[in-house]
Amino acid sequence: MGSLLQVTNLSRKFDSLQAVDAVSFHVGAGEAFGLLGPNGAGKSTIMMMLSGVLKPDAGAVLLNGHSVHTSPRSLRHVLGVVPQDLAIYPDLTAAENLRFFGSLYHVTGNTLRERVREALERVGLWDRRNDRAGHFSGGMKRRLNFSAAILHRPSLLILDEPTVGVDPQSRRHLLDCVRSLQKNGTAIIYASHYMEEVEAVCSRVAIMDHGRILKCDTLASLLSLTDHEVELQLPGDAPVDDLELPTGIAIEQDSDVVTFRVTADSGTSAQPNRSLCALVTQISERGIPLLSLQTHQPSLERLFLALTGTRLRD
Amino acid sequence: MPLRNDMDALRITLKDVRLLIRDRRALVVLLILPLVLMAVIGSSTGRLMSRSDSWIGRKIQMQIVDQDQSELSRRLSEVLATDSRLEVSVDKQEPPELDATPQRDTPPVAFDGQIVIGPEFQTRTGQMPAEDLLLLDRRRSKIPDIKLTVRPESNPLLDDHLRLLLENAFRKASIPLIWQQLPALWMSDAATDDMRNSQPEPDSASDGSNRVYRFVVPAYTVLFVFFLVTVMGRSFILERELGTLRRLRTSPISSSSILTGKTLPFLLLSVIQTFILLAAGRLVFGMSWGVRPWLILPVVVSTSLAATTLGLAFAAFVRTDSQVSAIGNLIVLATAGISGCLVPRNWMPELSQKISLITPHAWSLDAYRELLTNDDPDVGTVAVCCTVLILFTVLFFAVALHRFRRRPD
Repeated sequence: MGSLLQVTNLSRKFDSLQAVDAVSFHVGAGEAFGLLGPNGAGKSTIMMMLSGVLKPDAGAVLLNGHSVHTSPRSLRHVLGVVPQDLAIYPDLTAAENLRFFGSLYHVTGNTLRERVREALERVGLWDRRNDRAGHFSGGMKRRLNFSAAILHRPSLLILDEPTVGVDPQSRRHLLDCVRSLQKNGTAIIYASHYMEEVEAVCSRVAIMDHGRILKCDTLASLLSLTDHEVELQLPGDAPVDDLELPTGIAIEQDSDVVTFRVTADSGTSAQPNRSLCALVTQISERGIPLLSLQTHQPSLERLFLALTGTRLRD
Repeated sequence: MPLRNDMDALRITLKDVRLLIRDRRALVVLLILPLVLMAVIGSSTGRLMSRSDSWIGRKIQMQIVDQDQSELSRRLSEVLATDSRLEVSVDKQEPPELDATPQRDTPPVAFDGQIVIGPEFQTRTGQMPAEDLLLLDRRRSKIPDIKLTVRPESNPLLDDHLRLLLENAFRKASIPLIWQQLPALWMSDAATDDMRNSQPEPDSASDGSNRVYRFVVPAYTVLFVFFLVTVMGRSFILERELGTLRRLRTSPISSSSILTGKTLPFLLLSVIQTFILLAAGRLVFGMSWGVRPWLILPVVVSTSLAATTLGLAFAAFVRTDSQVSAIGNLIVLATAGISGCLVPRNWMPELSQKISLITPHAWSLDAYRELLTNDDPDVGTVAVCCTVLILFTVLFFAVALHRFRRRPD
């Protein structure tokens, strides 16, 4: 798969804040690439630089081998951008919004009319095409916002938190649209802090924080970095001091609950199973009530929290 | 490529025009406001809905009491009687004093004003040097033994207006006296210089009474056009807040096309506003458009260009609505004050007059003054003013473009 987008050592500083620090990655034609990071990680700054709105202090963004920032603006016909904030005119109808944004990419005449219809049907707004966008619900506005970016059939669609504040139905619809586009050959860059969305859409993911990429790999490779985990909880006053803990079991105790964690690398579950059985037998023999028993599959969220920490972000 | 850029700008313009039309309240305010302004000026000066041949809606009723009964006093009365703006009644008797506190709703007052020509009028006028007769107002000379009285409830400008008419009539009536003193006048260098520098007073029926509006209407027109600076600032803030400005910037459209497209609707609005104001000036105040009214068009367009691109440059710098209000109003009012929109420039000190030329307003006012007050306007002067306004336009657009390209939204 050839590189459609090549990002090399991209850096950007705002006053004393290093928003993006030597970020490099590439996106192949038709690939879905996820950019995952907490608020303030630098995702939106990267997106702005990718779309040519913001110039980097250092580094380069090459689209089809040409710099986004120094090449003629016609290069941007290849790009579609779904910004984080809604970017539609509330006093124009849905169709008028799309006609205007399509015309900016020099889609005109019958082609424009067909594309507008196609886009509105895709996001389920064709029946509301003559209503002003200002009268739409949040989810409908998000869908219109999305459709405005695909009228010119871009080779690379950049989505920056496209589902913020939408209902589950609209979210699911948007994700279906993104997957559908990707299946039809559109490369996707999907920036979000919703792990499940990135997992659902992307085949390769970069996890970033404080302007730097911490991990960048295929989804499967990243998931293999986290363990299967079984979590077992007992009441806080349970007599656990005399339990003989098998190997590989960690214990956390506070006044309300006692938690045992049994972890295992993927594919090596025999030993943890024996440990878990031994622990459950001891608990049963002592008549200690069991509050809960949960299994955790490897997930991006656990890797994400492991990499970026659990401290609250602004 | 330039054609494509033009089309790109036009698309943005059409979108903005459509949005402007949808926002009917704002549109009505922007178009009606000039008329409201005119109405305010009109009502404050008493000229609202008047006609050009009379500035109080009818001819001014004047009584002349000729106590001198001389050749000069009769000639003065005749000159005044031929003035189309006056309805003159000549009386040889001393009338009672005009009522100082007239009551409303009484039968029509017989006279708006009274001129009493004293018994020594001709004698004392004959003793005046010819240059004083010619340069009456410049030398702050007074017409001897004449008393002008205006009814207290009359328009406050009526007194000045009648005084001007009287001075003009006096000059005309004094021409034989001036002829007699002509040799002496030629001997006076100072008087000759004064005469050379003096501007002839307007004398036709369409002038005089409308002089004040020839300043007021263009001045307020220019002031009003530059109020678009804040309107444009708000438009950009709104586009930025909607997030659509960023979407425009990610499109293949160039920055200059975006700025041009955003400017054109306001240019159109500005031109329409200006013509509404000028039309109101003509219809409401009877203001003349000068002898070459077609020359007003380039002045209107170049002034609007300078105003809208100043608005563009301003919009490229401001970030919040509060900044638009605070800084925008400061710019609009400060430049209006400096330029002579609020006070005629020739009333200003010389240094202030020179400083005013840093504003586009001053050049626009100069062009309007040349066209509206000059019986033979100099096309070259108007062309220079328009050229300077275009240079301001280029400068403002360049500043806006530079700022727009450098600044992420």
